[in-house]
Amino acid sequence: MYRSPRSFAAASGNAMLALLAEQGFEVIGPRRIDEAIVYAPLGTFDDLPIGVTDRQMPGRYSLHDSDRRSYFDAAVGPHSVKHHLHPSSSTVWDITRSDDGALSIEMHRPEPAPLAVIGVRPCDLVALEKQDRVLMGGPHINPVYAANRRRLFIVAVNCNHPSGTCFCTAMGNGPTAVRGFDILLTELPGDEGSEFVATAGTDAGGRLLESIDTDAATPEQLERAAELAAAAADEMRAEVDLLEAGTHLKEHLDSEMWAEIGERCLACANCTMSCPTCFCTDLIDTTSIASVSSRRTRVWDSCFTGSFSHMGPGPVRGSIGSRYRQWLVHKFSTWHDQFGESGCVGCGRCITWCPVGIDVRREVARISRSGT
Amino acid sequence: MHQRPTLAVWKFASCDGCQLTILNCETELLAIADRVDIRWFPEATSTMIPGPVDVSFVEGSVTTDHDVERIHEIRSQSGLLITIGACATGGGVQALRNGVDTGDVIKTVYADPHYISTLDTSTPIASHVPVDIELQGCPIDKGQLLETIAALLSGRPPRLPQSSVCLECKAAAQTCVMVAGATPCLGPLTMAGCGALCPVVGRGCYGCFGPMENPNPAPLVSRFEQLGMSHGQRTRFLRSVCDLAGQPSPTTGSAHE
Repeated sequence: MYRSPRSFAAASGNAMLALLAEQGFEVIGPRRIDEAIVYAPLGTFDDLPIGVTDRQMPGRYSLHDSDRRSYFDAAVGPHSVKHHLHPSSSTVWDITRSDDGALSIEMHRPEPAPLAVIGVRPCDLVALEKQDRVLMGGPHINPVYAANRRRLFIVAVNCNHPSGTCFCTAMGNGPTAVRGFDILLTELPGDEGSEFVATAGTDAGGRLLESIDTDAATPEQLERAAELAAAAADEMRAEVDLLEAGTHLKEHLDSEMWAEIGERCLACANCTMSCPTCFCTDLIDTTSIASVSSRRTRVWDSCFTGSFSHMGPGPVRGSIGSRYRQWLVHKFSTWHDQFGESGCVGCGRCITWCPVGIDVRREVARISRSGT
Repeated sequence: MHQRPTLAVWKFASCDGCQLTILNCETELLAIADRVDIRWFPEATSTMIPGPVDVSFVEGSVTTDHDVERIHEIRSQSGLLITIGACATGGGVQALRNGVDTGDVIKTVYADPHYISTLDTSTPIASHVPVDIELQGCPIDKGQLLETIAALLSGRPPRLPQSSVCLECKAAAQTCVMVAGATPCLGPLTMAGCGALCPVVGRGCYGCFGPMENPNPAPLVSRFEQLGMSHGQRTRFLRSVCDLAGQPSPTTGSAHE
């Protein structure tokens, strides 16, 4: 297995995708679908959004032609890998009652086909680690997540051009990946087309790199990759260390700012749905019209809904401000107490995809600095 | 509830679309007919048996004096009263006349206005009698209807959404039409249940399912203004099939406030 970085051109990238497909992987990667870059089936590198970049601001997302002919020029899109690992809906069991009253219980044990995801960004790799810890790190393992996780092959791509809502560095991550990938790529754009520096993170990744046409990466290529990473980090330079600031949110539970945010927040739950680490689910039991069978389904839930905290007479957290506080304090503060790290990776999705553009960077900074 | 609960379906001011949703249950209709005794459903059958029923489904809004009398009579004859659709739960599109001069509206619509006898307002059923379960939507969602019937037959509360269309939209991995396409969308204020029917085909939600549990219109209206909608456009957008412009309903007090 290759221990040192390799380099290759797009043709070898195509060979890599073809080999993955031959090995039975469903291969998905970033593609332009309508107005956004989303994960979709990927045949060759030509399917990637070549020369397309994104502009992201609070509550705004748009695609534009870039003067670069890069394959991976757009930052994270609306959806993370979460959709493929922790699906929005999955069947837990079916129960059927026979004529003699006996119950038969069928547990759903999914055996998903292998999935290769191309172009996973460093922030989303960190998010995967956090979801791993929650959903399969303890004694109670989410079987759907665990099965989906086992089948996953990841080709990650370092970020050269963060979007306007990216803040991974302020959360102590990125813009380059450290671990959690099978293969890690850095794209080196050039007039003759891009080259890629590739590093194997696992034996499987190393074997795949050995199976395609590559060269040893040159010192010049490695230097350029480092420069691109440094430039990307510079683009995101934040005034506030949000990783540290976030830990103080729990000291400001009585701040008047929560109610003020509650006036601006729609409680629509787009932030939690977009977040690559939000993991909460609800269990729904349904019965058939004939009342002889029932099904339990696990579905995504959100702390912005009333039913999420419904106990006895009603929701414990009735106001929108109290729900926002629950989300932000857990994500940035009490997640540390629960899991020993922050729940935020700085991908910026909750900022971009908030219909009214509430910016967690601003809210964390000002609440953590406030008097109460 | 005894072995075959009796059921009636009533119509007030409405288009019959929600009653048609019942008939659209098609394959499930036989199973339903097997479990319930349909006593009164003129849209479906000419067999009409008067008298008390276990469950009444009520479509439509209250728009006449006669409606007011009739809904009280139906309430007194019904075990459970379930309202179905935007008209019954919110007043419907005909509630556009609320707050304006009804005489003017009648003259605009009818050639011979003197034949028309109506109240000044179109109001939801719950404004007149206690309602046990409300199914929102224009028309209602077949899945929610079946869930409600199945729940009652199994003696459990139905599982109905309370939160915004955005949850269904994101669960369906749909790209937000407002953030990415600058298309005004009422999804953040609107009750889930339709499966984000409009956003998944690239258009904005127009709120036909009515308000979600705690709608907060002000910030979204500001966003519509930024998107270039005039005051008149915004008003019409928020008040079409359902009124989404109203103040959020008072939320439950709590220890964590």
